[in-house]
Amino acid sequence: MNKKTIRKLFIGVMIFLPLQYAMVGIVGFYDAEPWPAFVFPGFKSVPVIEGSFETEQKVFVLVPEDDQSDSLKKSPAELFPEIPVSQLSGFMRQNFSDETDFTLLSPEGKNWLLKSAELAADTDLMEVSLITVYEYRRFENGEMILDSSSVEQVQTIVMEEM
Amino acid sequence: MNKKSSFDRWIFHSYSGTPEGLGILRIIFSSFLLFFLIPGNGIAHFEFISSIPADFFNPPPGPLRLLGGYPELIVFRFLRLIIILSAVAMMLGFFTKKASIAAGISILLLQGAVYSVGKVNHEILIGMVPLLMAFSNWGAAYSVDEFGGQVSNRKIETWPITLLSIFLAFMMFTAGFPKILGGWLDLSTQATQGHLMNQYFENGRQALLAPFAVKTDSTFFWEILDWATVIFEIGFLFVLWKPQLFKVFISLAVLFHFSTMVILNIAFLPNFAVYAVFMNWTAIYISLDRFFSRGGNAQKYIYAVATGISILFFGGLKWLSSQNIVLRNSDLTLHEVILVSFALVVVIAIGSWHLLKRLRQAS
Repeated sequence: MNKKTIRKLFIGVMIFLPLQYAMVGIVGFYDAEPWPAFVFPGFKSVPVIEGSFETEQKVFVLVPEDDQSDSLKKSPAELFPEIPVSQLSGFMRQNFSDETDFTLLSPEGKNWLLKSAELAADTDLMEVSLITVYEYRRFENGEMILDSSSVEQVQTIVMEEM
Repeated sequence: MNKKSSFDRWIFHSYSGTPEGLGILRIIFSSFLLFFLIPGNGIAHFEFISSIPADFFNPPPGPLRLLGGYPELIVFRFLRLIIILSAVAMMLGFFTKKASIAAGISILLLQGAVYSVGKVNHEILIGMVPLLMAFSNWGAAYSVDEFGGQVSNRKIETWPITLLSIFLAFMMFTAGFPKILGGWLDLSTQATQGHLMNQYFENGRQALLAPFAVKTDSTFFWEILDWATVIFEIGFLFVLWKPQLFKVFISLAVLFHFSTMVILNIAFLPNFAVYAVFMNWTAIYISLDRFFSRGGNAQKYIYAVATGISILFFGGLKWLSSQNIVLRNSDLTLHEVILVSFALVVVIAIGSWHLLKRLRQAS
């Protein structure tokens, strides 16, 4: 490449980068962060700690086919161990949010989820549900202790046809 | 000096290099890529992704949306194979330019497929390094190309390094700018502490110093970290025009990632491949050359030694890490901890050397 071309390349990149960033902002606002894009994670949000701190976790509740056994609780990491932690929260957000309508899942999707859950539970299941657990922690004597917890938004995802 | 000549000077002369220095960088980068930076977590991970039904296919907006579902396993295998072959070719310096471009493109394609689970990891620069360095002539020395007489011109180009610095500085800015908008500089909230709580309790990142950090209830401490993070990330863009200062910021980045690793358990290893490009590889070449010249004309062995040592070092580290001796309940890996700590030691050593040199000159 000659110098003139390289100079043009630099100018082009310096114009392109802010423009693509603006595009990332617009597309991200209406949809999701696009890819490929030249951005690093912003971690824009500021989780607030005012005396106590709230965490939110999705937990799968697995009901064994054998109704003598108690239901099992499994974390997303236990149900999908192959997904790296760095991607698991995104996977859960996209597929298992409070707004997700699980009735729209295809038979293949339901079957796949049931199989994943059965693998995690190591037993046949009759139902898979999703709950959101909120935990509240606070500082006491230099320790972060669990203050209270609550369960909200119980969603039945898949039920084995009897 | 007119604007055009200062612009040219910045593009073409910000960073210096030698064929030998870039050759060593190429060998080390390639083996680092081979052992640690191939997108995804190996074949088992790809088998899993390709088995996910289309209901759970969530590609980010962009070209991946043209696909109706996850690619077949053979696509993952093929891209992985291309990356491995091109990384080996790059390391050996065999058709170096073509191998570098092939590596860069296949890395980006495989990243895209992996991100379709619904989360983009911000590792695009892994692919950009070989793509840009392909034009630096980093295969001019210590390469099969050189020994086979395929290198007609040993002149190296450092403008790809300057171009890489633009990408890095801008991307750092995109990390810092949203933080300002989000309120990280607000004295009444401590964002870093909040993110620590999320990582600790929601993602289970509880290794290294995280248990101590989570007990630290000091507004002053966390606020300092908030401000330092924003200033550091935004600052990259302002030192882009000053290569020496840019290197200082690279050193700060290593310190930043080290502290993020010990507190938040996030290592962000891919960035270290980018930071390595800005090291003074010529000085490393000169040191190696001096060492090998002691026993006669041993310089020609640097190629074999650099390749052998990097394979042994990274390969050994990969094996050690896979044994799960420590960090069993963490997604942080032993190789991440060792490599990030090693980078910090290197930065401290370089910084101390420069400081001593300054002190000597002053006295």
